[in-house]
Amino acid sequence: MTAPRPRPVRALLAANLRRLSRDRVGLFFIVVMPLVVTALVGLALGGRAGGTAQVPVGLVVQAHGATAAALVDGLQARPDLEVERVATPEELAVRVKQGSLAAGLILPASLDAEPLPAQLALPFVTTQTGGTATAARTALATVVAQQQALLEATRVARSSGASAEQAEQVVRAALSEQRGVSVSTATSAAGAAAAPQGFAFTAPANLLLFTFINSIAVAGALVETRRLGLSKRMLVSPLRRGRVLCGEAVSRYVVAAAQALLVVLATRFLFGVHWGSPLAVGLLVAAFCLVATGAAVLTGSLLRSGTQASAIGPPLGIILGALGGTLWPAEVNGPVIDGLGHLFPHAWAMDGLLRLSVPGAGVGDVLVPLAVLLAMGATLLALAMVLFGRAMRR
Amino acid sequence: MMPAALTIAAHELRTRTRDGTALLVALVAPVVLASLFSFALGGDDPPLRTDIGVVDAGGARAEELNQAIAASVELRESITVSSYMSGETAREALDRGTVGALIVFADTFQSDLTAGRPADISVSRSATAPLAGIVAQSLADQYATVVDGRATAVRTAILAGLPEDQVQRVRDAGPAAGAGLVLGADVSVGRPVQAASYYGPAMASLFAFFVVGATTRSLLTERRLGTLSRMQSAPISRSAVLTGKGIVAVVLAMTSMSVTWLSSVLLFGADWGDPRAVVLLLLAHALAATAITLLVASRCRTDAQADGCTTVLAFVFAILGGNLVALYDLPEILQRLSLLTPNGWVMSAVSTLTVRQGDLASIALPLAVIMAIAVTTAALAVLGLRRVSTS
Repeated sequence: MTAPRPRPVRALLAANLRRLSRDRVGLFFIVVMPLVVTALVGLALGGRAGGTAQVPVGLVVQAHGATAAALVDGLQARPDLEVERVATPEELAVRVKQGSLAAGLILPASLDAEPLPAQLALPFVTTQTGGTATAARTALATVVAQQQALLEATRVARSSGASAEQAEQVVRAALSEQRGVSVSTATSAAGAAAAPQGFAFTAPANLLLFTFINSIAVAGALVETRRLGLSKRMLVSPLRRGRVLCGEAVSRYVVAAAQALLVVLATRFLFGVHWGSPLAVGLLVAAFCLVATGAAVLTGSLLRSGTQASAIGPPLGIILGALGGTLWPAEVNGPVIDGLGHLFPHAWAMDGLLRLSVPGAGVGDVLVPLAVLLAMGATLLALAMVLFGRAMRR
Repeated sequence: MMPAALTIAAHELRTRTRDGTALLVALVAPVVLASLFSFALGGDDPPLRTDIGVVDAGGARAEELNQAIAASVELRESITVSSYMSGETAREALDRGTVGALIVFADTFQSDLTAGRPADISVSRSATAPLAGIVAQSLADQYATVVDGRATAVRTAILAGLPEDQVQRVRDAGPAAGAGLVLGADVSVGRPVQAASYYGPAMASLFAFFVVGATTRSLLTERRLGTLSRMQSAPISRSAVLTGKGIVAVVLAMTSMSVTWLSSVLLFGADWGDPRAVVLLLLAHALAATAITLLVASRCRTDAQADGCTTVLAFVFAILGGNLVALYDLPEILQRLSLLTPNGWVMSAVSTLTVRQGDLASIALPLAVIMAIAVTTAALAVLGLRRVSTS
């Protein structure tokens, strides 16, 4: 009876996966952390799988009459504003200065005066004339103008001698007869990928961030394999060095790909994230996993201890992630950081994934990022394999 | 005890400073990340400079909008209006980014108004220029309000039974008549707090855990290598070992956080607040981080396990404590949970020092809570570590 044919790659894969399954901390970082961070940061960024951004404004309400109530309703109905009630003008000033609110509006007690003063200016609180504050101002001014128009109509009705209730009825009747001007809104599809919101941003961002970090961190096992002499013992057996190297690389790749798949599926079903064409996303993520695998094997060849890998992995991954637009939207980065970021894989992968999130995008739209990632991955992996091969013999 | 503790501390310090990875984690990583966060998220909110395209057959409405913007002190430096005769040309300009948004008046707008039919304005926004979209939407809504407001006032005058001459006066008065409810001029509250003044302390407090973790983990490494047993065969108390390691952990954490502080001040002109208060806050956090990682080490069997647990804890505390996402941007429930972490109290104290210009007395509560965390976890750690050193 002939002996079964050795399958070193499969055996190494199975051994490494068994080893990983016993590492609870590693599994926590692979399975739990990406989803938790995606959820938390996604909620902080708006908590939606898409949609337009709102400008956060604070509102201090010191009046209690109908005019104030109508202004509050009008502001809260404004789709471009996220209105937060604040207790005092002092607290509003702190919140605006801190940056948690773009601007603020105070509805003073004089709004309850009957009749209203001839000119009543509502205080608009801001730090300086920044773009967000300017946009907030125009939106607030619209609501104030709408209320002013109603007040003017009411004044006209009262000038006929009508009581307050009668004037209100007349104004309501006038509004109901009016055809008026209707304003509709549409968003251009061009550039839609450049400004994802909420989970639509954090899902791809954290997929890339944690795939890379965890690949580097689990490379510690590779270092230990070397340090304990297991690699040398494997070379004593009748196995070609290439097969051993391949087995180690495939193990890392499978873990990276499995984690990426988990994040894609979990965010799709838990947060409703639209990733785009499955083929294109699959190819792009597979290419990024190749890069992460190369980085893992390179780490395994260069470091002296497993703890070094787990110490370096998170900071390195976070720095590359920051440069690549995974910690905050890339349009926040200036040209310098953006240029620097594109020396590394995260920026290319993020560009590709965001482009694919636009409906109708396919493989053809991400050929450049895909090609760059494949080239980076192949180069890194080839270099890593050469260095790891040498390290194994030391 | 102290001479022995200091000897152990000196040896530990030499070991840590010879480890390149430790220096990378303690000095380089927090500075680089704090700088990245500050560079990307910091700086003032740049003034808005955008062009809004208006599609209007006659061109008169673009001119009306231009005049309204020119009359506004707050808007005239930020917004310009370009008139387009053709919708297609305007949409190409929007797609190219030449204009930030479009306001399109229907071709039959004027005739519809005159005939009392609904008149349409459509606003086209671009995802790449959200602020321009908000401005365009507001300008379109305000234009509609002016037109409708005038019509409502006239209709009200008629329904109220006012004589024809008064109705005509209402018709002629226009939108500026009557009680003037307006948005006031800007009330400035001063310069905004820089991102560097938030993310500098945030990165410092996050990396403090990684820095102290390496030292506290070394207790388990020494147990594994047998040096801990050899130390105990000498006349060295267990307290001396713990004290020596603790001193190094705190010194390294303070060094790391101070370097991050200095770099954010020099590179970004960040202001972390009253220096005395900042020093005490960082010291309290270093003590708490050391005590917590010692507690973790006392509960783990191996140094690798302690390493992993410390990393998990550091990240969880960082997320809950507002180190990665600003505390005030977190959902309400997480802001409450942040109070369970020393990081959350540090960032809350930082806000008091930077935004409210507080002094040492104003952060007495956060300091007290962080110290209480440090003392409690240290006591638990010492109890647990007695078991470590004797096993």
